[in-house]
Amino acid sequence: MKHNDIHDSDYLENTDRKNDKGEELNRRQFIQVGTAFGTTGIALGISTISGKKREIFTKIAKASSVKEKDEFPVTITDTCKQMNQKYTIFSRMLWDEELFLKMKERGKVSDREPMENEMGWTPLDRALSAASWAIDHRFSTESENGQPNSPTYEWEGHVNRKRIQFKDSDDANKKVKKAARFLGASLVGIADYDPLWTYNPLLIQKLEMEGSHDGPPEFDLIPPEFPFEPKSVVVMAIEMDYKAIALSPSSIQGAATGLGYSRMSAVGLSVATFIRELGYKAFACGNDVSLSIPYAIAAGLGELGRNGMLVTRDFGPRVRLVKVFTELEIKPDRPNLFGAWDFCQSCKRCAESCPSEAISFDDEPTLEGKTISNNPGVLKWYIDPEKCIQFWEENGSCCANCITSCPFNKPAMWHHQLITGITALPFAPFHSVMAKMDKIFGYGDIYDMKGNGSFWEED
Amino acid sequence: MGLLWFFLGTSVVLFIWGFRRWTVKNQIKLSWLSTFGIITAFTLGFFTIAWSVSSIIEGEIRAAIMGLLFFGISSLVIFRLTWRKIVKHIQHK
Repeated sequence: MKHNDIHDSDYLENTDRKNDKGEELNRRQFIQVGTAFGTTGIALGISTISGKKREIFTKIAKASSVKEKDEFPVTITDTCKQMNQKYTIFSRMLWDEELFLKMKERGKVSDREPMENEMGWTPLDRALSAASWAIDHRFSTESENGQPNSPTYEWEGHVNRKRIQFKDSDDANKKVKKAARFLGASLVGIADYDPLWTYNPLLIQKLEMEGSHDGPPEFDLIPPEFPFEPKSVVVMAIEMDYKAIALSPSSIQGAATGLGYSRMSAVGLSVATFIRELGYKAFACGNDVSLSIPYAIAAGLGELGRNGMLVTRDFGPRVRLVKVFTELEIKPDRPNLFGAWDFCQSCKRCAESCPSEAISFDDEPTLEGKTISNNPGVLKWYIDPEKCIQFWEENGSCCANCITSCPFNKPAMWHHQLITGITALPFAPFHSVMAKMDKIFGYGDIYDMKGNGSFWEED
Repeated sequence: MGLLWFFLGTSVVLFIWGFRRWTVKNQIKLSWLSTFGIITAFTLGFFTIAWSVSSIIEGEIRAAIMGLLFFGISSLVIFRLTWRKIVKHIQHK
């Protein structure tokens, strides 16, 4: 035994140092035991950290995979103009006879038979859907179809005469976003107002309140003249229920959508009221007044996806968007990229799950739309809204298959956050593998039959 | 979930302690490759447990099973290959 060899474990173990009481103390054992208990204590401490404090770790993880950009991350050419709201697919359902003829000529777009009293279509499920839409239908009538200036989305509300001055626009950014989160926004960001995204002209339906009205719905087309000049847009995303959306296409998924719209009304009105109470004019809007997705991208809420929707890092496309236009100058946020657009080039899961094949399978995005309901001039994968809405008509409820099947649509668990971070790596074949693995692991299955039964049985 | 992380944290500590005691007691000096292999195998093993339990908690049973297959088998393969290397090294000594 070489006593000089400090790595000799036998030597070390035999080098006992006896204290006055004759107990054997070994430095190595002391360090080992101390480290073990210390690490166990840290593990216990971390496991009991409250959800709020644990967010710090999530933020650190996100920061390593999210890149901020100065410029708008989607290519927009000069051919992109303000969109005539008359040509959105919801508006065309009011007047476009040619659209109805086209649908008739096309025949059924999917082989799905209408389901009555099947799971997802029972009276219980339909009642849930009607209930979820109730607040939107009562207080934001037809806003989901683009009708502006409904009660919760009124353009002119009471404004406090006493105007509060912020330290600067950065301070306004922090305070307004804090208020928005408190009032129910799942995600919030600020963007500068851009007239390019405002519908021009706006379509105002003449909603009959008394008596009956025979004939097609009537509407006016008016220029977008607001009671004030908007400077900033507060963009908010409202998360929809993961398990309900997983049952797409069914009344339960329709309930998740309806609840999203109802919460949009409440949150939009609340945030607009908050800003008005600070002494600044503001109004909220949902699907009306302007496009929502470009503002959401500019505000850093997510990226544009193949399915034409906003894909967020936290919820994927499983969000609804509501905006508040205001004259208050708020420092805008910057677009955030986390690899969704790059991933969409290889994935195509939404296109595979679309029952009417309305989503493009093209490898590369284009500048040309497919129908008059597209707004050309933006480099993206254009969907066919005519096929999409035709399936909604056949299905008897709206559809969210493209949301359900998106690999970024995941509940907020650590392993999904980890995978989302890994998919931020810009390597195309890797993305194809990740997309296939997502399918193999059973995520994104539409009309989850086993889940449908358990929806009502779970708490 | 808190219980899962506590269990995993404790397991990691016990593994490191046990591994260190085993190498010291048996006077085994592992190469960097063997050490890397053992650490990778056990890390993947702990990851497998964490993945599968988390998937069961969120109701994705198929993801839990696929996790056990994909990550668990990978962990066993790495461990087996590394163990063979270690045994050869010991026999050679």
